[in-house]
Amino acid sequence: MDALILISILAVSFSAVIDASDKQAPRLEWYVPDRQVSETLAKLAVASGKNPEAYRIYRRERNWSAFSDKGFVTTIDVRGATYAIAVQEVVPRSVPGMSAQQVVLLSEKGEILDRVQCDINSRYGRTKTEILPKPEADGAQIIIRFVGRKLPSGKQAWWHNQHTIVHEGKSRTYYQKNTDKPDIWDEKGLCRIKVADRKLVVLFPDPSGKGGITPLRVTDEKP
Amino acid sequence: MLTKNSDNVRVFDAPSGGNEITFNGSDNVFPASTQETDLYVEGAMYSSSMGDVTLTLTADGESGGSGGADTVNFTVVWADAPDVAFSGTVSADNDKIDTYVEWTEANTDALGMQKFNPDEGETDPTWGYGYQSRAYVFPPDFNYPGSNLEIGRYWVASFYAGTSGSVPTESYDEDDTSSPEFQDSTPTDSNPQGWIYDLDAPRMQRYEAGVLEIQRMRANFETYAQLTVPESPDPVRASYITPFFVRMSIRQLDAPTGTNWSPVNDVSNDNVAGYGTTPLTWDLKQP
Repeated sequence: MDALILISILAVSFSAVIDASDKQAPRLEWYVPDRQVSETLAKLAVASGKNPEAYRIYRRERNWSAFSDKGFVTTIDVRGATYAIAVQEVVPRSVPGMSAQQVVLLSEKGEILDRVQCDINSRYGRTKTEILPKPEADGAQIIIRFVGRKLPSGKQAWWHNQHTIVHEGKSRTYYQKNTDKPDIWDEKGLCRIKVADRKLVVLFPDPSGKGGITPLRVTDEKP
Repeated sequence: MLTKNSDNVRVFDAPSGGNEITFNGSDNVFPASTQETDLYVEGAMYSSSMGDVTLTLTADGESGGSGGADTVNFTVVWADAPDVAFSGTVSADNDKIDTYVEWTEANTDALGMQKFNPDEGETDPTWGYGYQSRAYVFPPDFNYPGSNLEIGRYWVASFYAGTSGSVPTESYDEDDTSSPEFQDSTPTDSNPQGWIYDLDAPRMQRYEAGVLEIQRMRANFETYAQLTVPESPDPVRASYITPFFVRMSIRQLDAPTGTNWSPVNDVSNDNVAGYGTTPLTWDLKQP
């Protein structure tokens, strides 16, 4: 019963967002009720036949941390179809620790369709998710970026050692060579995503290794 | 004929396993009909100076002749297992001492548990446990273009929170190598030559929280020297591993909420760092 109610809430919210979009809001943020994105998604997960804990706790290999109550839900239009994108965040409370994003794709009716996770050690900086108002040349509509810390010298830190992307049951960890200059991860983002056929598609880095970027490590994740 | 001037390297005919070339006057001689053969060189003992191991290939009858011989110089890199200082002060020889001093709230080079300023980009200051690790490198004058010989680190940790400090909140098991601004990775500028350093302070944020809220960190670390070279960008461990631990608990004292966090010793032997490992349970009891 709870899930049905929440689906209704989401459906109503979609209308509000679409209306707001017409009023030239380039990126729309709204909190599913009272900033409870995680709990809302957990209940929708039950209705979608998925594990609700995946929306309360960020898990990757043997690392885990609770999602913060920050997060947002917005809509994205793909070839006439409207989807909801929920973005969940792990806000680090320690160093070392974890800064993580989870991008969740939902149907208009609130069915959870897919998710992509991305995290780094909070020692190096933070992650953030951008939802683009229109796709970039490679088709990317969602970009998870690394925001490096400023160094005590005032210089911008670019290096993040390694980051991990989890999608479709595989965890892929990418190593970044120690550098004091921006490189491809700073230019393109840690992870570029598009929506197609009711799924999230990781465009960059190509999971098959096309483009020459291969993971340092690949492990299986529980669905 | 292939010859070597030192036993600091071993030569094989395969990248792993394979047959070792023993330089017995037979297995290190390659017939004139040999078009090409791949050999693989493995370090056996560290170098005393850069390029002090030489492999020489000489064509029969042309010993030492410029047209009939070729040589390759090798350096075998290794470091002592890092030592870790949890008290005292940062070494004056450590180039990153000023970075550490600026980082501490007391503007000090003292190691140990203390308050730290917010990390850049963050708003909350922290309580942390400052320590310095260092390793002695062989050869002490190691300097290879495009390489990075640094102190790497791996950690396994659990965090807890709540008024009892017993609710697990996060857990980690992954690489945790320091950023370059806390690493002095140039052995040639230390005095004496050969030392590389790393500074760190595992820390918990002093965020706005309710009165008597507790945060606990239980962390085991492994530290070691590691090397990257342009030809192989993934880091390779270049020392034995030193295990150490950090465990801390802090409690927020202001009512009803505040940021006045202070160390709490409701668990025996807490707020300590040292060699070895710690239980990762909130009460430090073995699970």
